[in-house]
Amino acid sequence: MKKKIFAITSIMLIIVSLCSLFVACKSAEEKEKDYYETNALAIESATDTLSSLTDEVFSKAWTSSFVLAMTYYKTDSEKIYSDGTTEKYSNGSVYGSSIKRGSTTEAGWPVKEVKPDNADYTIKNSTDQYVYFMAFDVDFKSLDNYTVKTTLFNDVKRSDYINKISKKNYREKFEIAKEFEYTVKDGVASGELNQGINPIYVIKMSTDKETIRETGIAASDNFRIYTHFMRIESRTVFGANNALITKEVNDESGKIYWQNYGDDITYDWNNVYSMNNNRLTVLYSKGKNKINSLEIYNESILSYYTKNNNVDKSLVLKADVIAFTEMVVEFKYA
Amino acid sequence: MEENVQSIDGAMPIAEEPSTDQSANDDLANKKYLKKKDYIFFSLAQFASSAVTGLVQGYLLYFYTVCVSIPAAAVGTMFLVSKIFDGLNDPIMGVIVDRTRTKWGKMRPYLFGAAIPWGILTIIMFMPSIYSSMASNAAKIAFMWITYLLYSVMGTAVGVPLNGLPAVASPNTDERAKIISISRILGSIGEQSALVLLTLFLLITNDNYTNSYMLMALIIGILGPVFMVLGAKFVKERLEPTERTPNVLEGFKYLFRNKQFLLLICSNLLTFFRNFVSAMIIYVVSYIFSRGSLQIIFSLPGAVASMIGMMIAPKLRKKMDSKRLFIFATIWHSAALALIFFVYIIGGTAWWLVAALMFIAMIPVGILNVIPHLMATDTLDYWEDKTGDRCEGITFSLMSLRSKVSSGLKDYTMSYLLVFFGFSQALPFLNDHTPVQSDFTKFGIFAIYTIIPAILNLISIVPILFYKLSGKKMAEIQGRLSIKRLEEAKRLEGIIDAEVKGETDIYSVVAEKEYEAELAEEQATAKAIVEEEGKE
Repeated sequence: MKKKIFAITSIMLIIVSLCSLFVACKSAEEKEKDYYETNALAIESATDTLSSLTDEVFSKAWTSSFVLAMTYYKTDSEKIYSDGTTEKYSNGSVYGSSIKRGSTTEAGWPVKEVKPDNADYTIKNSTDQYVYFMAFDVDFKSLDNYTVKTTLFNDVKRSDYINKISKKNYREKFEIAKEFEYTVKDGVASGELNQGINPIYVIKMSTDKETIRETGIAASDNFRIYTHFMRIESRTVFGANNALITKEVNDESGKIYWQNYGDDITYDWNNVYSMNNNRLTVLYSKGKNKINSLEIYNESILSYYTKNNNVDKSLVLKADVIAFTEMVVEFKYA
Repeated sequence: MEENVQSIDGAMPIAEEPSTDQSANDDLANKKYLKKKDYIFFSLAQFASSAVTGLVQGYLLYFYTVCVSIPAAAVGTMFLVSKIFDGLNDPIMGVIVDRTRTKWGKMRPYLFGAAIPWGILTIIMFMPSIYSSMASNAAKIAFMWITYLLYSVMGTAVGVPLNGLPAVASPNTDERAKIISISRILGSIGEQSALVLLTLFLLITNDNYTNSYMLMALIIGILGPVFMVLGAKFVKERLEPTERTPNVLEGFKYLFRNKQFLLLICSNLLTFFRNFVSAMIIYVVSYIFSRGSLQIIFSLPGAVASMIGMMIAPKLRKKMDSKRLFIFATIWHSAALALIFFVYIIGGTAWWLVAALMFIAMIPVGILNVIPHLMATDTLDYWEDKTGDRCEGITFSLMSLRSKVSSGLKDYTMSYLLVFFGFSQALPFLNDHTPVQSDFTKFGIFAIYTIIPAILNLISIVPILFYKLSGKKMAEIQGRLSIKRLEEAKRLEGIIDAEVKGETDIYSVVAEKEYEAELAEEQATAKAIVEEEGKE
């Protein structure tokens, strides 16, 4: 009996060792190729499912009330003159961030305290997250017949936004800036949208399979597909002059933009100027082929020059999320 | 008989003293051995040990997954495997300690030797610069496995002798109970010290979790070993155990033979879901309320509520037996968690409301921390009544094994639940990246914090339904044991009264007398055999 156990254990150990050897023998290039091929297949399958689900959404009548929130950094500055007088102003909006890349001589992230040469004032800067947001009330019958009511609110600090937005009567908690109504009847549009933002278009673009495949495969290394709900994560990377860097560009240039792949990826911020991370989460009923809710999240990352630390004040490159957009749509089907 | 029924409501029943004169036996039993410095330094050592374990158990999962971006699934697997490994170490360490004989005793050498490496490993585990210097995730995972396993081994090498120290510091059971009680309260405070430090450092570093963790690990990792070494230096081992130590295999056999203890262990293994509540606080305040500094407001009242539960547990036990109290506290905890979940779902999303309701939910947790230990002593009495054997060492090392396996199961299931709900991890190539979680994930985080433990906790009641040591049954057992102990005490009284002199401890005298009696019996038997053979 002991001999049998010994023989079986030995055979199993040999099999395990051979398997390990086989896995180890696979070259790094082959592993990387496998990784991207597996991802491409997974994203193809996921976007096919997504496409069939979104077709269903736009073929049914539904209503929904939801919020589109864009978070950005605003810099509040205070100019303090030598005679004690002060002057306050702020910089930055949702369409023009106060965070810039900067250069080796000028910090892109606003420096907390600046005393220009030969000036009789000091500037104190503080950066904080603000939210530009709007609520939509959508009554959708078909792509040719729907109504979108938009309520635009005044920008608020993100901390205030978080405190109030989860409340049922959140609309009463914020100041309304303007209200819009937009109607499409028999294919003819009338009315007004805030800054042209049509949530129907946002949903369509965010779930469009060709768009996801193109932007995703371009530079993504981060697809994740879940079984009980659908999540597609993709990433686009940009170099100088906002040039899109695809995997091919990175390979041809000798991998100057990023090294490795998957969780081990590292970026060279000298060459990567910015990136976008997109995350689409779809909760759906499998049997009914029906999307219950859809969450769109996008974050913009910028690489910028900043002060090293309080002791060493030389400038170094760093990267951070400087803006993000959130939208959660829950469909109420007729 | 009434006395015996009463005794199950309090501590372990003690053999009644003979009601005659105050003999040398009384003097020895009441003699005080522990000095102030024993209480102070042992409590400080317990405080330090709890501070280290509180830091690691409360914050390491978050540090691994969020601050240094190790995949949650890898962390979960490592926690599960290492906790089982760690739990198995306990009985082994117990045997090693029991076989140790040095001039410093058998417990203290391990405290001297293991406390400092334990502190160093704690610091290393929370050093972000080590992880950021690693090129691949595989290297981070390998480093995590090595350091955490070493930390577990050192933790066992410190924990087992530290927990055993009161048992050898004094033969006086009242003194032991007192030093354990004081040190447990300080231990509870020690567990929360990481939270206090975290709150302080979050304020100083402007909500920078990575640096705050590093700083609190530095403080606890340096001061902790200092306190533990001081404890080892000043708390003396005054008692040489004379009882035979069972080996590890015997311990596991006992688990399956004592069915009541097995049911208790099974039930306790299933209580790990309730640990989700405290472990999820950091996720709730960071991702749902977006304010890391709220952690102290959620954690400290919870700890206070739990301490209230610990204090009221003995009083409640006078009104109902352990079995009923366990079921009552479990249902109370589950109902309160379910209430918080539904209040939140219908719109009660204010953080102060959740924190206030959580205070009510945490009181039964204190009760559930005490009752299983009292039930374990009931199973000891049951076993003694049934077989005549009493196995404290095995019982409590298996309780410790249960606790560690539970902790591993908690970390493992929690990590996988986070993955299940699509928890977005921080990007490893960005510093202090805090991704905004999706609404679905936020719902999941709140569910893991409330309704999931509320439902799963109830499973732990199932084995207890088959647990037979209810009030009446225990009263019968205690009655029989009291009579047995009284007879034993009277028998020993005769031996001791005749022999006890000066400072000799009571246990050694009893053991020696029993040995001499056995020897005399053997000699008599041998003599009888020789005489018998001579006649033939």
